Parts: sequence; C-alpha cells; structure tokens
Amino acid sequence: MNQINPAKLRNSKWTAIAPLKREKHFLVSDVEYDEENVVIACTLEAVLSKNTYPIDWTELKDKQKWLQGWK
Amino acid sequence: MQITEATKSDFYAFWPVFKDIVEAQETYAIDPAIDFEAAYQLWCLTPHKSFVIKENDKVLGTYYLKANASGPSAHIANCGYMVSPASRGKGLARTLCLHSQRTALALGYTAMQFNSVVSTNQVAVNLWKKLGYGIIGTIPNAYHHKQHGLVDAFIMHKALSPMDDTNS
Repeated sequence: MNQINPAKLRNSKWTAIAPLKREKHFLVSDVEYDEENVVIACTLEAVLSKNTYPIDWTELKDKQKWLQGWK
Repeated sequence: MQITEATKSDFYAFWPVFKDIVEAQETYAIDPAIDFEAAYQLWCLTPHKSFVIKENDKVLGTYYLKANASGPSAHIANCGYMVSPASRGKGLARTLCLHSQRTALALGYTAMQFNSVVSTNQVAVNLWKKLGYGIIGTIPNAYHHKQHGLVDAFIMHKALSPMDDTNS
C-alpha cells in the first residue's frame, strides 16, 4: 500500500501502472478538504494531455494501480 | 523563453514527455523501458552539455550535445532534441537546433552529425534540411518503428561555420 499524507496530496506525482490512452504520468491538481481537513474531492491531471479526472484519493494507495512519483 | 543548462529537476519535470517519446518508438533509438536514472545519465550526464528550453518555469523541450566520436573525429558534434507535444509547431526544435549549433561552435566543434534520423519522421527531416543538413547516408531497415515496422534511418551532416546564417 502506498503511504500517503492527505495534507500533502496537492501537486503529488503519480504513475499509472496500466496507462490508458498513453496517459501514464499524473499530478494531483486539486484537493478539497472539509472543516476537519478530511479530503472530500481530489482531481488528477494527466501531464501530457492535461485531461483531468476526479478520483477517490484512497485509490492512490493501491500499489497495483499507482506508483508514487514519475517512473 | 529561455534556454539553460539542464538540471536534474529540469529533466524530472520533462521526464513524462521523454518517457512518452521513447515508448512511442517512432523517433528515438532508446530502450522504451529505460528508467529515469538511466535516461538522466544518457541525456544529461554522459553528453558534453544538455539544455532545456523553458517558458514560465515550465520545461518545453531539451537537447544534448556531445562529440559524435572520439580522437580524430572528436571535432564532429552530435545532438538529440525533444519537444513536448503541447509545444510543437512553435519553432522550438528550430530554436534548440540553432542554439546547439552556436554552442557546438563555441565548444570547438566544426560539424554536426545526426546518426539516426528515422525516415518516417518527415517533420524532423524537413527541418534539418532547411537548416542546411544533408543526407549523407541511408541505413536500410535501421529502426523498428512501432507503427510501420522496420524503416530506414538517415545520417544527416552539416559543416558548422560562424558565417552561416542558419547558425543564428
């Protein structure tokens, strides 16, 4: 499991294990927190295409799907 | 836009583009499975110099410059250039090539040679021709193109001269 500090999600870099449409490298471009600093929304941006995807941030913990950093 | 010598963080910022280009297997004879450290060594540490072109601190392209061979042939330079897909069509490859020619001259090189310009990469072939490079050889079936299978590659060469206006 990838260890993630939710407070440091913004601008974190990720590599998809099984890229679709040649979208392999991503950046967390936006994160929203509630008043208790719980993540309520997270957006991933594909570096090359600039496409954005809302994502459940806890999916990033899955090492079968995501690698931390740009590999 | 500014062109500066590449740092490791510059190369990391450009790494998604670099990786995409080599994985596409359309232009560069670089192992598509190359990892970041090996690529950094190949592109930034082994060559004589490597540079990035930036706009608003965003890395849009890069090139390396090295001697094409050693000893009696060390006066011929070799370069490789990459531009991010989003920045193509804006003359960045031309800008990088002109910069590399000036840099090569300043470093004492007297010619530039590209050893493997994939023949299907017509944009690059046409640009190098416009900048005065000639095809001095064709290597049959030199490149295993991901889409087209085995295709030829060109060796392109140009004598560098401070008087040549395609150096500036």
